[in-house]
Amino acid sequence: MTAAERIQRLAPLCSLFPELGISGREDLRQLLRAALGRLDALDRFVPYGRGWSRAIAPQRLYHVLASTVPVSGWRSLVEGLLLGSENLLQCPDEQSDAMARFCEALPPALRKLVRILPSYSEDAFASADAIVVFGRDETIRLFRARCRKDQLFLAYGHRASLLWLGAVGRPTTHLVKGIVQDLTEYDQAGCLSPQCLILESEAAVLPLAELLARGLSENALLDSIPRRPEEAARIREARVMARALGWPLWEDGDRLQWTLVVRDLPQFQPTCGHRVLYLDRVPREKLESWLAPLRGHLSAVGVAGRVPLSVQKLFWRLGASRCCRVGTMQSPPPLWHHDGRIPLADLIRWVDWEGAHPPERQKTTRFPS
Amino acid sequence: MAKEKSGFPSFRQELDRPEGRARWAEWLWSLSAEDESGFEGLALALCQIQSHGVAPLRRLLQAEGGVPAGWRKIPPVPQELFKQSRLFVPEGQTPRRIFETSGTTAKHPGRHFLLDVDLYRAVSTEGARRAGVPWETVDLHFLVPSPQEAPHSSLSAMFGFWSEQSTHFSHFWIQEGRLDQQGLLAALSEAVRAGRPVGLCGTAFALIPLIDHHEGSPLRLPRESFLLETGGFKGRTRELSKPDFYRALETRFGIPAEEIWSEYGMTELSSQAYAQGPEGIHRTPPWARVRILNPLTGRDCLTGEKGLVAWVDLANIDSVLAIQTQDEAIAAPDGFRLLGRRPTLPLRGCSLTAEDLRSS
Repeated sequence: MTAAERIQRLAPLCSLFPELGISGREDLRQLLRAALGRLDALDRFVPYGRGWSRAIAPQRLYHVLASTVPVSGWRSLVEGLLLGSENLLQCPDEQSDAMARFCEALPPALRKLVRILPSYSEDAFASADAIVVFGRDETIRLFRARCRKDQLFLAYGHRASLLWLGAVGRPTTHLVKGIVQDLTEYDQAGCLSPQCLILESEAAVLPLAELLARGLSENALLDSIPRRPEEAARIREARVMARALGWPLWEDGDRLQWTLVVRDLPQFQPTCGHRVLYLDRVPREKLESWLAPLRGHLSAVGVAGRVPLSVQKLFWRLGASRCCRVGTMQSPPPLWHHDGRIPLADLIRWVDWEGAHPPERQKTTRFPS
Repeated sequence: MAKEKSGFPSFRQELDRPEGRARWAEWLWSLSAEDESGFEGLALALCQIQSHGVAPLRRLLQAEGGVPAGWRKIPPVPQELFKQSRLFVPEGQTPRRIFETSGTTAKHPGRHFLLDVDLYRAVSTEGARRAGVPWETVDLHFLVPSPQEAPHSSLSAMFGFWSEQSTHFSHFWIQEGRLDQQGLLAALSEAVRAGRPVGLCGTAFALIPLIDHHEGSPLRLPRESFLLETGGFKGRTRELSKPDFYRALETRFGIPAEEIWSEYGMTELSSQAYAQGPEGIHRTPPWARVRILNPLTGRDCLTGEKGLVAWVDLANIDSVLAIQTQDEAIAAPDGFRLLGRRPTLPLRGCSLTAEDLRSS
């Protein structure tokens, strides 16, 4: 199957799962072009410098998927299928239904390239020539240690995202709607979910918190999540901590759907998730030291209004791979450089053909002496 | 002593003085497990005193409408707060001892400030005595560092108090972070030969190497010996269920699994609970109570229900008496069955957690 044929088959699936952020054929083409320079580099030798090159995709990919959000697994699978690889998915219980649903929507020709594994399989792992891992550093270390030297290893480690509103003046309903959208999607469990909202101006904090509380309250009526005991424990702990430390708090009582805390901390600390959002007042001159714990861990920054160059540069230094409008944090474009990498590119190996002509397909090619 | 409006003696200043603390201990000793009103009176008095010196507790009380009406209404402070805040009651005084939490998050340990260890010494010896742990009648072998080597370990301190007060031989077998396994096994073999009963006490993790040590035949400890484990496998990756662990100890040392002691305490507390056997019910001394709270509702669990352990420890006079832990347990009529640390949430994909940040 050529890349063009795979694109043809994958495109309808992308429309069925808009969370992927890949709208269809053209996005899939762009993905391949960004990684390979052209669409057919996986199918044949293409001009490269004075000779020819061909992209070689892994024959078999072993994916270790995260348990919190389905979309990273779906996306990883789409990339594997786009490359034409066979895909072994180590899929945690929490995402097995979502992944099964996704696979059922695949056309038969692609579905046969996918196998869902309920747990780690040593044989399957050993049979793969490339490994993709989503997870915490300890998970990544574990799988890296299991890898042979000849296995390609690609990992997406833990990251945090945040909202930076700088010196925003009067908060608007539109802005609040965007923040609610960024916070609530995936129950704040993904690396693109904002862990905190940073404001420079003291004056904006309370009006924004009050508007946000209203927005989150309304949202909870439409999108309520049944809480598990361990989630409830974390949410309650975050609330008691806030009360004990004297931080202003807005929350929805025993419904446990959302929590807003105006925090006063010398440095960034992560949230426990589950729609617990911290509002932090951080003057620009203290931003660098305040964000220091995030060095190397920052992912996306949702912004509103102008972002001064000094602040932009700080975000890049901290490892940010994305700066986007408030309200779009959870919808990265198809070509997003996840963890700063060109999609697909790290899974590809190139082979060069140093001749005046490319090798002929289906035939033995003789090199001129 | 001056009377407060509630009718209970004002210990606010007295608890800063040795005599007052000794008197408080006498009050604790006078309590019985059934003495609900005695416990309540002391708990509310202590809560009031602590709310003056500990701002976080004061804020929690204010948020809930002031001084609580009963001991069950005292808001438990999360263990996590010991990492973020200095919870120390005595005004203008310097803590003479600081215990620190250990484990994977040691970069930012929880710190328990004590004006003095006098009450901790008293309750950790008396509590074990009342539970029935025979620590005073046998040679004691501790699988923890000595209090001199680990001055910030509350467990080492507790075993140190046992050692001080015992008339029998005692030794700490972890030195410079390493278990002197050879020395310990030689000492135990000698005790077996001489028929001298021993008490072998340590963290579950420290006991594991002794099970894994397969040289020679099982060491059947002399009659009246006891085994005491504490701490479970906090944060460690060894996969061994408690029943399997106890059976392995039984095989190795000849002490029936049903008789092995389990101690449950923590750095942030002064009192301990004890159980026997892998499925044993933990019971507290009369001066401490445990509530099992349903995290979904925040209310007390009924018997047989699973929830999170919250302590009310009247011996915790220098910080806060009510503490919410992350330990899971099943409520029992006269205690609780400890299940261990609340399971971590599923791996958070690529989202950063506090634990990740601390360990990175």
